[in-house]
Amino acid sequence: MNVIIYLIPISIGLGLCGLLGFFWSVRTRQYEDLESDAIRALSAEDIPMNDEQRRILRD
Amino acid sequence: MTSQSLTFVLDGVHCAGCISKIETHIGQLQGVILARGNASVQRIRLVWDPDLQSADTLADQIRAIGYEALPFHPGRTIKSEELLLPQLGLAGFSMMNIVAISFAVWAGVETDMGPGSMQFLHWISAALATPVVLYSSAVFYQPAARALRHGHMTMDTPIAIAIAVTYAASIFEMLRNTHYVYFDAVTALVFFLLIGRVIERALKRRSGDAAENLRNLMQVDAHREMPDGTFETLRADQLSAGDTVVVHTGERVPADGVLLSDHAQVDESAISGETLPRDVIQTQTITAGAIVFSGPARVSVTHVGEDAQIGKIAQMIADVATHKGLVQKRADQFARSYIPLVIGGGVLGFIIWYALLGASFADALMIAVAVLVVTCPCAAGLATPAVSARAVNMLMGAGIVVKSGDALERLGDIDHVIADKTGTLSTPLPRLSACDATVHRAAARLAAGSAHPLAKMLCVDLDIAPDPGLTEIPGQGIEASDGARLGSAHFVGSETSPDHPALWFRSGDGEIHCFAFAETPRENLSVLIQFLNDKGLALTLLSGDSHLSVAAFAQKHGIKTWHAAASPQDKLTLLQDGIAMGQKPLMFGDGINDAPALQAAYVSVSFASATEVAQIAADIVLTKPDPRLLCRAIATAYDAKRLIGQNLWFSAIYNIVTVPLALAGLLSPLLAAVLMSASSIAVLANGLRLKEQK
Repeated sequence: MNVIIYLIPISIGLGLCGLLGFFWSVRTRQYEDLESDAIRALSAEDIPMNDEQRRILRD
Repeated sequence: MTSQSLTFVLDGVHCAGCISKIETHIGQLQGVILARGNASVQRIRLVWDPDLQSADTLADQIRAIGYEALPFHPGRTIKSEELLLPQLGLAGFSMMNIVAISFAVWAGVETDMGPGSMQFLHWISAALATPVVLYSSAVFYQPAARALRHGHMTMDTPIAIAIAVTYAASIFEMLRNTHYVYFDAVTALVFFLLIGRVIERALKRRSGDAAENLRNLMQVDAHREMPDGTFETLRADQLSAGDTVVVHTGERVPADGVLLSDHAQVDESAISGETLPRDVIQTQTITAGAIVFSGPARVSVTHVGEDAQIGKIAQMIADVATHKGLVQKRADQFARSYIPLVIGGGVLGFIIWYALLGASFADALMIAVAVLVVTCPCAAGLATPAVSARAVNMLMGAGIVVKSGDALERLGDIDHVIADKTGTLSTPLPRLSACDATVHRAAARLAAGSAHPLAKMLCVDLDIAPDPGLTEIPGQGIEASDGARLGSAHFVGSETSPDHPALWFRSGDGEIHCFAFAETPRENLSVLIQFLNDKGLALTLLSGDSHLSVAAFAQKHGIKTWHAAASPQDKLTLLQDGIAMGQKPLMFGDGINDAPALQAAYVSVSFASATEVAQIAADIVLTKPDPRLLCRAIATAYDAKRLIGQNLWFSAIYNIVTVPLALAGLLSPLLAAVLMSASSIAVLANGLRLKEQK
């Protein structure tokens, strides 16, 4: 059973990766406006935002 | 006496208890004239004597009791409130891992887990719980600590104590190598409390949006005409009265003003809800936020920014619930005397169990923590705002501006309705009676060239271009090139003059016709009368018109009681007498002559198209002159009143049941946190049951 000494930290580490992903999604304001984002995903145009646009959205 | 006034945005305020604390604290300071808080938008309006206080000293005073205060500048978009999602995510992640590990420990205690493995799992739990306590729960302990430094307690104090005590006890027990650790309880406590906070903040943010949205209609660019004929572009709020601006097709009018161009067509749907474009002619007023259809329109600015009509409406919405409700006052008092009881209860629970019943230190501590957590009075604090904020917001969406939460509660209590006739239950302009279609079309060709209200009524529903070569004689009528005339009886050469409003027409061949206009009830008036009947609310007609016309109108629409030829003073006296007798009348009116009665009524309703005086006097303003909106407002107020009552009962019963359970040691801190959050969510969810009224 000594294997749990490193298996548990590894599993928590994997979970932490998911948590960091969640932090990133909050910081990039992906929860600000769920309604229009849901509709935006359906529109045909798929143009990525540039850095300037991201900065404006963040501020 | 001079006074200064400023609104502050408050941070760290979660329920009515906090607001009442700040109000009391600031209100007792020297030189403070008014301190009125709003828990829904988390703002407080302060009015003070500039000789004795300043905005800075007052903000410092608010900070001193544990809250953050920032001056609020109307019109400036405030950064939306943080939703605490990272804090919630971290707490959720840690809680789930710790609970999984705890199951292993609980099973291990009963079976054969060695002390080494158990301690290893405890250390991992501690490592997961520490960031939750330090980071996620900062939203509870920071305001509590700030307040404590100044010798005050807030709603957060018991929660912060519970978190700190549970965490410290767990670390202590872990180091002593026992299995009495509660890292699962403390993270779950933070997680569930945060869920409540996130929902609460999301709800509050939504209701604040309505006012901000309206304000944003005014944040447009204006093209100002300079004396030399050139134009400069500037922000709408930099205009001043007397400026001349040009608004092009498709642009928004930047400020209230008077039209200088001959004619313009504007879409005022954002302000009045009226979907048909409105024709504005020279010297008529034009409101900020309207979109010009036929530009360019030259406008002379009269009111800018907060003074413009739309600014006033936005201010009305922001002031919603500032005027505190009677029911809410009761909740405030309840909350104020509550915190010492909560902490006293926790201490009492600890003493009874530890000193008298001989429980272990750890067990007694957990009971005290459970008492602290389960009694967090947010359900009581949220009971009223959870419903009234949603009701006001919903009515706003339907085109009904309720100026205060108080007005909403009073609307739910009315026992009869008193209404003005002309302009309120009937249209302000009489409508054309039946007439010959051919003559009507011929006359309309002249009427189309005039802006006279009756001439415009003549053209309603007819798509007719004005005759070329029309000449308008001000105050008399309009004449076509073929000699046809439309106007007063005298203008067309008729001797008779009926007592009701009429328009006379003399065709090219000299034949004289009279277009009679009769008083018409508002569309859907019968819906309102039927609705009031169903709800058992008596309707009284109160008009300044002659006995004959009021009696005819009342009889036609089945209104049993009516008072005619009433002066503004008569109207006021009738309302005041009713109030003095303990009645709760709703006054529904639109004119300047109704304003005193509107002011005196238990609750009053007016239209956005009514006179400004009436709008200011009224508690509720309907953006469209549709009687159905009044039905909707009353029905919503009834529903809201019922739900607020349910919420108050629920939170009272919740506390009566859970406090003894916690004191008896039957609730773990985890269960207490779940119950406490569930009670807050139940109250909020009950508010969401408020249905859209048709």
